Amino acid sequence: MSRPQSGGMLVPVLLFASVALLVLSRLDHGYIAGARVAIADGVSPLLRTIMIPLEPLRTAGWAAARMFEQAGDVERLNNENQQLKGWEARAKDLERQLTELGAVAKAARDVDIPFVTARVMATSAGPFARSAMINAGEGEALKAGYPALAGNGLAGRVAVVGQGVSRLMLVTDADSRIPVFVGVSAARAVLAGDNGATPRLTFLAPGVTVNAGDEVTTSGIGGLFPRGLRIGAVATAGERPAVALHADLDRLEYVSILFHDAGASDLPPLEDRLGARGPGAGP
Amino acid sequence: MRASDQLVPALATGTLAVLAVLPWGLPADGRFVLPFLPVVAIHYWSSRHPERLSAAVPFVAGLVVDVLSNGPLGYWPLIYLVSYMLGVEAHRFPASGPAARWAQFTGVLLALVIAAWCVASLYHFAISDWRPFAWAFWVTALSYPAIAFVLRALDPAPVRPANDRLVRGV
Repeated sequence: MSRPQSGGMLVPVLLFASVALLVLSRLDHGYIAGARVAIADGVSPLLRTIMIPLEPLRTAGWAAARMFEQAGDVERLNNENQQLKGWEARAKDLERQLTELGAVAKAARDVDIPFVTARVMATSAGPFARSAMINAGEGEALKAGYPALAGNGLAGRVAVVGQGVSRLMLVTDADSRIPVFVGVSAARAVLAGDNGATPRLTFLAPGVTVNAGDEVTTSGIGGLFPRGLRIGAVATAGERPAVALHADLDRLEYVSILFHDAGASDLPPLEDRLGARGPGAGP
Repeated sequence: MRASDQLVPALATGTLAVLAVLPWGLPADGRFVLPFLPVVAIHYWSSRHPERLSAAVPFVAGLVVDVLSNGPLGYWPLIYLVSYMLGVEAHRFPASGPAARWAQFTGVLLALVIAAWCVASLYHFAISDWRPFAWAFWVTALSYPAIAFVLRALDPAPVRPANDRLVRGV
């Protein structure tokens, strides 16, 4: 049997190109970021198109997964409902007191932050990052740094903005660092992702005690995120407590992007930045 | 060779690559199996009809997965190209029967998953968690019969066992 041709020089050339791209990615070269955004913009129409006929299949998959999960949830939800009714009455009472105190102190209320809702088109599937691609970009006036909410809590922030798509860095990503308050004492900490399901609390002040169930919210320190966005609750205490997120990052379908300009970087377009560095410039 | 002979393998590989990055609601660790599914198509075509699958197809499919999953550019093209090369080598040792083909694919996949783990560890300069890779190996190996069945239905000229021809005059 004759040996089949495997493309002559094509295979070695492509292997070299793959390794070169991998090395440039490791060095975080500027051209890689530009190429990534350009390819994502180019592929996004195909992705939007292919999502339409696959929608019933995706919906069925989600429904099946939820069915398995919800089998033993009825009793737990009943118990939670009873507890929440108690909390509802208490929250209404506190809201009334807050309104009265605010009127006495003439305190300025937080301004509502406008937002836009976007659909998740693709999610990361590898050992390298925890991210998602959404179908909103410069056309929707998004900027890098805007916070993204999903359902009950913070999901991440906009990392890269393209023409019609953007990349979110999720709070579980290994590069994610968010200043937070923990518990009713508002202990300061930094929530650090590690590519796992539950990010960790770091830089807790010495002597601060964190208990399981303590709420974790954004502190607003540094201005990247507005203060008070819910993130999750402490799941396990210890030296580096783990935080169970309120947002279900495994089932991201829609996210709300807050137009929080204090944290957004108003950078010039990527092409201008690459052009300013000149060809062959390092990262 | 007709254009459709090359189009079908490219479309099948590309479709599996795009499906690998769509949000399916799977847990983050479980999602890692998805980029390995195009390996089934790459192995199927390169081990049976290597002349119909250009090496550019696995490269572009890997690039699309890298971009859409925000991984480092070059990782999945490298893995898919190695899969392509192993498939072409497997063509020299044709397996007869579905079970033998499955066993052959499982062997290739094991080598590929170990290579993927090594590349990920080298990229991070740290030992990567092996569990998502092990999970990906098992699920991909178990998925092979179903995906190969669909690919065989799409195959314009599936490989037949060598003894199904009668030779006159011997």
